[in-house]
Order: sequence, then C-alpha cells, then structure tokens
Amino acid sequence: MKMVLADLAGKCFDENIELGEYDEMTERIRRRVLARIMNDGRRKRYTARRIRGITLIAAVLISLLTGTAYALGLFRMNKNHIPEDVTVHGEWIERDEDGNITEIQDMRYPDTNLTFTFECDELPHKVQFKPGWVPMDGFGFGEDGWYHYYGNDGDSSEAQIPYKIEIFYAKPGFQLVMMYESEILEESSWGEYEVTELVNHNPVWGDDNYVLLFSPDQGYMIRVGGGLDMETMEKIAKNLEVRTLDEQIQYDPDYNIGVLNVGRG
Amino acid sequence: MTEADLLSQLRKGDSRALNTIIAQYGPYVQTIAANITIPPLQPEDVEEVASDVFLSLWNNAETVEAGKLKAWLAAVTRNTAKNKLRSHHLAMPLEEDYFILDVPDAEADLLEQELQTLTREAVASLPEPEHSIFVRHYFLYQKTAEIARAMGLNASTVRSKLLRGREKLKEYLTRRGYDCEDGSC
Repeated sequence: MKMVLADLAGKCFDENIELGEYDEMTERIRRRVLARIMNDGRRKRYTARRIRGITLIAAVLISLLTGTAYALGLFRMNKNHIPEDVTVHGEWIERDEDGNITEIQDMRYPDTNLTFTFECDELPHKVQFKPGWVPMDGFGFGEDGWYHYYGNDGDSSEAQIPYKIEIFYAKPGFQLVMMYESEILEESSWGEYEVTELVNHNPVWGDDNYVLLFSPDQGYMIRVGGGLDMETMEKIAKNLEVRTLDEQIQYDPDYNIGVLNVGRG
Repeated sequence: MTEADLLSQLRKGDSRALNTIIAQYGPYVQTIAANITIPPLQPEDVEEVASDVFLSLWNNAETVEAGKLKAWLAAVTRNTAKNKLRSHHLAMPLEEDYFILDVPDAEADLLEQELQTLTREAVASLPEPEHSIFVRHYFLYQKTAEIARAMGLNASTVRSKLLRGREKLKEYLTRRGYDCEDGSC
C-alpha cells in the first residue's frame, strides 16, 4: 500500500507555527467573503417577481420632495417595545426542490427590546437607492449605480462597521428584530418618510447609530446604520436618491423573522 | 476577545466575528492554500480556496470547538485546496514522497486514521528543528526554500533534517508492526 507522507501527516497540526502576513490578497479575501455572506443572507428574505403591464415609476428625492410618488396603498410600521424577560422568536423553514420541509430553524432573540412589524394593504414594489454622499467608499449590490444594499465593512483592524445602507420591505406577519438594547433618540418626518433615529448598544462591539426611513406610501424602510456618529448617518440618509421599480416584491412565507442590525449575515 | 467569544458571536451570525477571524487567520489560510496550489494554479485560485474556507466556517460554525479553530482552518484549507487541484485533474503536491507499507490495499481506508495518529505521535517526538521542518513541509506544504527562509536555516540543512525526520517516522511505524519501505524517487 502506498502512503503519501503528506497524507500521513494529516493530523500533524502545530499551533505554534505561523504563516504569512496580511496583504492585498488577504484584504480581497476578506471583502469577498463578507460580500458573499451578506448577499446569501438577503436572498433568503426576498424574491422579486416581475409584473406585466405596470409602467415605470419616477424617482423620488428625499431632501426636495420632487418627482412623483407611486402610491400603492397604505402601509403601517409598528415599533414594538419588548419587555426584558421576553424572548422574541420566529422560524426559518428550509425546503427541498419538491417543496418538502427539510429543516425548521427556531430563531430566538432573548436580548432585544425592540422589534418592527408591519401592516400592508398591497405588496410593495421593489426600490433602489443611489448614495449621494458617503463618508468613505463601500461596495454594494445592484445595477448601474442603483443599489438595494451598499456599505463599508471597515478594515481588518477594527471591529466597527462604519456604515451600511439596506432596504427592508413591509411584510405582514414578519418581525424585524433589532437585537440588543436600543434607545430611540428621535422620531420625526422627512417629506414622505417616517424617521426613527436610534442608538443600539451592542454588548460585544459597542454602540451603533441608526437612521430608519419608513415610507408608509410605498411600504419600504431604508436602514442607514453603523459605528459612525449620528450626524454622519443623517447626512448619508438625507443624500439618498430613491427610485421605485415596476417589479413587485414577493415574500417567502418560510421566513417570518429577520434582524435589522448591521453586521448580521 | 477570546476564541470562545468569537465563535459564540459567529454562531449568532455576527459578521464582525468573521471579519476578526479573517484578519487573524487570513494570512495563515491563504499561505497554506498557495503552498498546495501554486504552481500549477494561479493566485485567483488561492483567493477562491481561502474564501471557500471562511465561507465554510461561516456555515458550519457550530461544529468548531473553542481552542481548535486554527486546527480546523488548517485541515479544511488542506482539503479544499486539494479538491481544487482534483477539479482541474492536476496532481497533488508531494505525491512523489511516499512509503510502501506491507498491507493490502483493501485495508487502506481502515488503516489511514491509525497511521495518521501514529505519524502524529512520531512527529511529536522529533526534536527541534526536525519537528517544525516536518510539519511545515508535510502538513503545511511549505517548500524547503521557504522553510529555510522562515527558520533561518540553509536549504541543505532543511533537506537533511527532512530526511532524518522521514527515517525516524519509518522506524516508528516499523516498530509498531508496519513493514515500511521508502518508495520515494
């Protein structure tokens, strides 16, 4: 029997041997992996479905309120304050190609004091945004400069995520969880948006600031959040350009809970 | 933050934990991947292998025990890199370095685990620098010139220490009942 020494050595790990140094390749690997987990996480939540016969929608500018808003019906967002001894939970159901359930994941969040739920009369249409100002470049998912996700993960030396911008859609029966303790600083209106500004106290990584823009006309929320200060988050949010597409979002009923915090894949 | 804390956060789906792990172990993983795949493959393949390793960690965090993360990463990187070569129908590195054991081929799978355990014992008993040289070459696939550079030795010393390590391993396996011949070219 032939035994290759490299195979024989398959258990010869030594904790004390170090290899390599952080370089450009490592940075590319880091960005690639983080982008992949963000994209994979989002694909579980939403599937877009094209609708026939709907005309294109004009863009809406947050700061100037010009253009045409596409009114679908009424959407309502509820902020739910969760008592300390309550665990928020929901399910993620996995199915095989034939639709048979292969796994039911019981998702539990014992350390949250805030969730968001929604009431909808219509299914929202897909929206995209274009960042008009950001404190540093990031990467995103979208097309032709319009995104549904855009952000900066920071560098390898810091655990802080500077900022992330992402779109969430109103869905009846769905809980959007803000993990850990959140403190709402201000609630206001910016044009068509109901705005919530909060600080989230992450016990591991420190505080993150959030500006949440909810459109009751179109049923989406834009989350601008991260470790940078609130003034920066506000500036990012106020300089977003948003457009609505003719595609209507189709929700997957197998996922009835999700997390709003930045850094969650 | 301890490794246990990092793994705990990773299991909760916290990407910052993964970010921290990549910062700490990215160079280690990409170097093992490069040692195995270059040549004949390209740097882009190294990136792909390393990315697949960390994605595997993200998707299987619950299977990694605290205190064994680096070992897990090393083992998965070795396997992922070798699978990459297989997918291109390329030969494995160090294939020309082997022993011929006097056991039926049919028993190979059954005996591999035991032989790996015996090898680990034998290598653990090697004095330095033979121990580190053996591990760097046969576990981490580091080339002799690289080992020499990393350990501040000259290449001929590394080669002779490797030879000595092989001899001792062969003696160890033989003493434990495995009739072992050096089959290398």
